[in-house]
Formats: sequence, structure tokens, C-alpha cells
Amino acid sequence: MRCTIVFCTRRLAALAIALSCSGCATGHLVDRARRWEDAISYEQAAVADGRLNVVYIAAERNQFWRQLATRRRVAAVPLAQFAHDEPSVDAALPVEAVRVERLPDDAEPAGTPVHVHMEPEEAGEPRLLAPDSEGGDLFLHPAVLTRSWVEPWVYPLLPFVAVYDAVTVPALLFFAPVVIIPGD
Amino acid sequence: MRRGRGILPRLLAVIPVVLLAGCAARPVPAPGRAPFAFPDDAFAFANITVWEYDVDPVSGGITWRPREPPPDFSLRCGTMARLARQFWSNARFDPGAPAADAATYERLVDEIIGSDPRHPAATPTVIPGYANLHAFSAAHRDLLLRAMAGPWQSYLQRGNWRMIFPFTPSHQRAEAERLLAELARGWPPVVHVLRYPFTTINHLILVYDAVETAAEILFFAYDPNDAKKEIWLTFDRAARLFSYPATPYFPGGPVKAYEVYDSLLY
Repeated sequence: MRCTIVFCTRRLAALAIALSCSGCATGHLVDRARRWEDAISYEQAAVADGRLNVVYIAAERNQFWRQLATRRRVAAVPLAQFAHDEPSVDAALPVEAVRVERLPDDAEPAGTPVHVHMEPEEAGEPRLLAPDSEGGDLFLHPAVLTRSWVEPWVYPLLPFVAVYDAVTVPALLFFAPVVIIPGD
Repeated sequence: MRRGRGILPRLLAVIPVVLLAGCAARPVPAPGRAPFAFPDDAFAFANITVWEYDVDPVSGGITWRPREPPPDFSLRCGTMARLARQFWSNARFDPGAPAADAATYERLVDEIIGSDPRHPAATPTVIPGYANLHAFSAAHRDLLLRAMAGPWQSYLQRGNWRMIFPFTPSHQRAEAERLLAELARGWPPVVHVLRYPFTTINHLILVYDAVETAAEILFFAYDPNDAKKEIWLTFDRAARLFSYPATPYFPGGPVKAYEVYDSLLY
């Protein structure tokens, strides 16, 4: 019984290490399954309850930024996070800190309609959300709506590829300097 | 038999330790001189690609064919990026001093090439008669080409091992922050950009400045393949990935990036 426990523990430890190392094949397989989605156009927008509700067309892309599909998406961006002395202004807020609530794709934006555009009124606009000088339209940086995920089909394959890595990575590490050419 | 079974976990256990050790030994003291400036601190000539690339501006697709006639100087992007930084950190140009003879310059260049590429020299090598690397390399192209030897210096860059491992978005974000930290210390990092296992791009550049916005970080870089203009490596904060601009040899788009020539393992 004790032998069995030791036997299993060692194999689990080896598997855990292999997974945590995430070598060549594992990592590149995950990269294959990685997806990004970014807004390519705004369709509708409305402000309600301190949130900017946006309907937009999103492009799904792979690791090489090749467009795989487009979808209608709906998101709500709380405006309070941008609020300073002027409404909807925060030059210092980096995009990764912006909170975005994802709504069902078929949701309709409720509230006061507002026109939102992807290009700033002036080039070099540092803010992610900025009103036009006349105050009627809003500039919302499309990066605010970017999101990424890993396709679920990859997970069942990982244990097999991890075993492959466990065998090949030590050899690859040894030979890598002489077979890989970072030239040109 | 039992002993044989135990080898694999032990070998695997070494790998994360090695990786962590590589991450921990990074800080480099700033050499205390003016920031790297393009084109003054860059070579006046470029590394010439072995292939000629045809980029389709509509599809972004790329095809390549051998350059005719074959270039006399190629596959040296790594050597040039490294050496540009060595000149910046380990040499001092003295335009007021009288120019030396070819043998002296050859000796001085060898001294700089042999200096530590990862740390600034305590006593810089003085290059008399020229104001900067751009002027010096314009006047002594052949000497420098000979001194840069063969492409093996790029082939055997010790950080190459890293490219076989995955670059997660979190890693790339940490790398962007690391590059910013290096620049803040006054140290221009050499960066390997790649798409391994795809060979669309496999290149080394020297990053020397950065501009941060809420959505991205623009890293300005010296591209050894282009002596006339700088390029910029963009880090998209939301997507957490680097993008390389369109060039005659790359259609533009996401790349992986990591710093090399900065520690024992890189």
C-alpha cells in the first residue's frame, strides 16, 4: 500500500512539474488555442445608471492577429472609474485597470442614447474615454473592450502534450543553442 | 531500474530552478552616460537580409526568395544589436583627438567586442577622431564587418534556449515592465523578437526609449536591418502582447519578445 502511494506521488509530482514547466509543445499548443477579441466598430450606445452601454462588433483573432470571426457584443462600462473633476476623464487609468461588464450578446442598450466613436477628436488623446469638445459625442478607446481567452478544446490535450514535453524538453534545452538561429 | 525512473523528475525539477535563477539575476547598473540616441549611436550600415521579402499589403501574407546577388553582410542582427550597446556602454568617442591608424582602430574595436556585453566597463575604450558610432562605422565599415566575424555569434546567443518555451500574456506584460525598468535605469535592453516555432521573424533589436499611454507602450528601437530609421515595438496593454511594425521583411503584427544579454542565462 505504501509503495503504491509513493509510486503515485512520484508520478503526480513528475506530472505537476511537467505541467508547471509548460515546455515547448504545451505552450505552443496553448498559444494555438489563445484568442483575442477587439472592437472594430460601435453600433449603438446609451448611458444609464452611471454606465455606458455599448453594442459593438468584435473581431475574434488568433495569435497572429488573423481575424477568425466577427460577433455582435454588448458591454457596460461604469463611468465612475473615469470620473475626476471633469466627467469621463482619467488620463492616468491604464486600460488593464478598466472594469467592463459583459452583457448578453442580444441585449439592447438601455438609457439615453449617445454617439460613441473609436477615433479621438485629436490625435494623441491620452484618455481612454473622452467627450468631444462640444460635449455631444464620446470617444471610447477600443482597447477598453479587448478581451482574451483560451479555447476549451485545448485542455483535454494538455496531459498528453505535457508528457511529450517531459521527454523532449531536456534534450531541446541541451541542443537549442546550436540548432536555433536568431539571424536575419 | 528504480534509479532510472527517478532521473526524469529530478531533471524536470532542475528546470524551474534554472528559470527562476535567470529571472533573479537581472539588475544592471546604468553606465552613467547620455541615453542611447538614434542614429548617432547606431551603425551607419545595415545588416542585409539573406532573403528578399514580398509583403502583400492587403492580405498581410509574405513570400520570400533568395537575394541576388547574395549579400556580403547578413545574419548579424544579434551581433549588431549587441555591439551597438557595447559601443554605447563600453566606449567613448573623442572627436577632438587626432584620428588613429587602421591597426589601432582594429585593436580598439576588438577590445570593445571582447568587453562584457551585459555590464558597462569600468574604464571605457576611447575611440579617437570620431564623434559617435555612426560616424566611425561610416568610415570603417570593412573593419567592423571583419570584426563582427560570422553569424555564429547570433546562432549561439545563450538566451536562445528561452525561445522554445511559451510566452504567456502575463510573461509578456512582465517583460514590458522589465524593459521599462531597464530604460528607467538608463540601460537600453537588447530584445529578441520572434514567432517561434514559425520563422516569420526571428530578430534582435536594441530598445532605447519608451512612451507610455493608457492603452499601450511604444518602445523605440534601433533595428540593425535599417540604418536610416528607428522602429517601434508596441505593447498592447489590453491584449498583453507585443506587435512589430510592418517592415520590408515582416508584414507587421504580434510577436513574442524577451530581453537578452542581460544576465547569466540570457
